[in-house]
Amino acid sequence: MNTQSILKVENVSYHYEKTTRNVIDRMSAEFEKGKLYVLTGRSGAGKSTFLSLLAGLDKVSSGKILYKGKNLCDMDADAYRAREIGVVFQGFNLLKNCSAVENILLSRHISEQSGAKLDREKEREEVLSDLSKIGIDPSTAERKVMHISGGEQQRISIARALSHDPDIVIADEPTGNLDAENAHAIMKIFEHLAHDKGKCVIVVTHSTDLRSYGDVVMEIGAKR
Amino acid sequence: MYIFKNACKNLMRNGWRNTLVAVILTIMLAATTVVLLLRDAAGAWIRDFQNSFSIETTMGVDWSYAEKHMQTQEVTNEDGSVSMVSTFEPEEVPMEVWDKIATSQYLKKAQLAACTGFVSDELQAVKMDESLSRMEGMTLEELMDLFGVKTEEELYTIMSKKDAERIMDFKKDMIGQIYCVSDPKLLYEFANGMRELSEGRFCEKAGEVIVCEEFAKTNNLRIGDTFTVEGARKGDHDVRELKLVGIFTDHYAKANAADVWVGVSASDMVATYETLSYLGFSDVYPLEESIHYYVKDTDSLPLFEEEARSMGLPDSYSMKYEIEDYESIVNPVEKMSDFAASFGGITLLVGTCVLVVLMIINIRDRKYEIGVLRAIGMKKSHVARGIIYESFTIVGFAAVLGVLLGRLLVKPVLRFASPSNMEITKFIGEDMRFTFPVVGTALGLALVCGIIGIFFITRYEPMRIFRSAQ
Ligand SMILES: Nc1ncnc2c1ncn2[C@@H]1O[C@H](COP(=O)(O)OP(=O)(O)OP(=O)(O)O)[C@@H](O)[C@H]1O
Ligand SMILES: [Mg+2]
Repeated sequence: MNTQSILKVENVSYHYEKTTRNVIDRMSAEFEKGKLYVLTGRSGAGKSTFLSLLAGLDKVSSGKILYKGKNLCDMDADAYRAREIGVVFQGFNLLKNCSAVENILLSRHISEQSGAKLDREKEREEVLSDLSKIGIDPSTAERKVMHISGGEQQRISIARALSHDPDIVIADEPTGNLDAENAHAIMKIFEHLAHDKGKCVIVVTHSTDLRSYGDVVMEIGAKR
Repeated sequence: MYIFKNACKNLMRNGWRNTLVAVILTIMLAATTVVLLLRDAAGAWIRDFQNSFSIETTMGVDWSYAEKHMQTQEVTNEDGSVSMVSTFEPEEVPMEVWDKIATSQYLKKAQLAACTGFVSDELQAVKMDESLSRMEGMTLEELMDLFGVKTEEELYTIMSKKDAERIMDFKKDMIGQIYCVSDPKLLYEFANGMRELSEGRFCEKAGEVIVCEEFAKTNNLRIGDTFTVEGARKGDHDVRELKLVGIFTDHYAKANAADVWVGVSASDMVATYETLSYLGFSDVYPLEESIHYYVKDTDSLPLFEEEARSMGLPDSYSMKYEIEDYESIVNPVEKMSDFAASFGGITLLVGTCVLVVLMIINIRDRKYEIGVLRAIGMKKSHVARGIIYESFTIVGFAAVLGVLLGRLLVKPVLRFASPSNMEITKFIGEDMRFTFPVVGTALGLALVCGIIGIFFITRYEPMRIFRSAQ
């Protein structure tokens, strides 16, 4: 086993409750830190389902997912999401009524509640400086999310996913709503996260254009 | 802590909906407050009414009895003709009997009244019209002259011998009467606004008197002055001191033939009933019309009459009363109270339903938010706590507002709702007792909202968030 391997998927099958068809069928994979993984597959192939399993939002029907060698099923899924993994959603999924800063602070507080050690004193300054690094100026950061552009929102949601410094970042079609220019910018951020920050980044995308960013490209639902 | 902070922020973020919820809650809690206060006041009013309820009775000559017991006499007229005169002389009931009846166990209270004549070296009667003169103190000749009769027998057809003798037993210079009444305020003239206190106060203790403006003027009397009086009967020689504590105006007398009145009653004084024994004059004349006995309840009426007779009330007297209908007075108040209770209940029920619906819509709308929170690792219990904090904060706010609003509203509501002429508003409690049930109701509502919130959260799977956005 590779020492860098952080997530290990072993012979995982999954079917939705009250259905018999396996959406994920005996799948195995390994994810390492410092690499960007691109997952592709046709619509309905089970990409989102797979991510939700990785994120601990749902439990496998059979097989196991190991995080640092520990079975995800035996872990506190909420704490796992709050501390170890950052999730970026296709629809950004920020709290629309809150400002970017509030969104990120809330996420940090949730992580703290789960035991993450974060600096409380200068958190606001930290968040603002983090945001400015990804091109969100302070005035935008204090505005309500609903008045912020899609590209900016996606960057903020990435910032939120990273706010508690997780080892793993997963993103479900993070560029789905963006124009090509913005999509590339986002993918560059992920690339930077994987290669320079040493994170394990897993991105689901439809776009053949963006596949080239992946160190590893995985087709979901290919063998059937 | 961050959960509470976030809850507070959420309340601000979802402004309009929370305002609506707060308004509904405030209305419900204000209604609850009003209902509780109103019921409390109505209850206090009923208790007070029960305490003060009594049947006012008076006793007077029974004229049907009198008719049956007339005495017919032959009287020889001046011209020698003979005519038949029927008379009935009611027994005199001395003051002692009235006093004794007042001690009956069937009474809630009694109003006793008697008057006694007085003379004084220091005082003068208000000037009388020349044509009028006091009968008291006249000699037999003067009386016969007054009525224009020649013989004593003729006089006695006009007034009884007993009355004539009584009149003749008075001192010549009698000034007036002192009316001694248990509660002078309740004396007919004062109670009906014919007389009105214009200066000072009503007499409260033995030896205190109030007089008419004219009498005070004639004798140059001021509040606080003292003077001495003596009994008006020939045998009375004890001197007593009286103190002036108030002066009254006699509106009725002023409006009607002042000349007749002036002198007849302008020289009278009013005092408390204790003053009668304080003076100790031998002349005591019971004021039967002003003697009232307040019987506890309807059932006690015959028992009271029986007791009064055994105490010396003669058969020629009958007891008069009007039964105030207890039920007809208390029932409307009770009905109002019950109506208020059901109104309050319905308000609570409807309000709770509306709140529950709002809460459900709220949670549905907030699924997205909850999904996001869960997806970034917030525990179910924390999300639930946030929602409970939100509902408790809003309910607490509404409770304070509702209680205050209810307090403000209860008076006008009560004035509007209570049967006319019933001063129930003064029974509105001032203490904070009523806040406990209101706060209890509020907490109950908060709990209901919280539980519904939790119910929906626990049924919400965060993984749907991956699909909901697409
Ligand atoms: N709650 C559910 N119950 C039953 N079946 C479901 C449920 N959610 C999704 N599915 C089915 O599971 C399969 C995989 O869905 P999933 O959303 O993971 O696909 P996907 O690869 O993300 O597709 P897309 O590219 O369109 O996002 C689909 O056939 C879908 O219809
Ligand atoms: Mg999908």
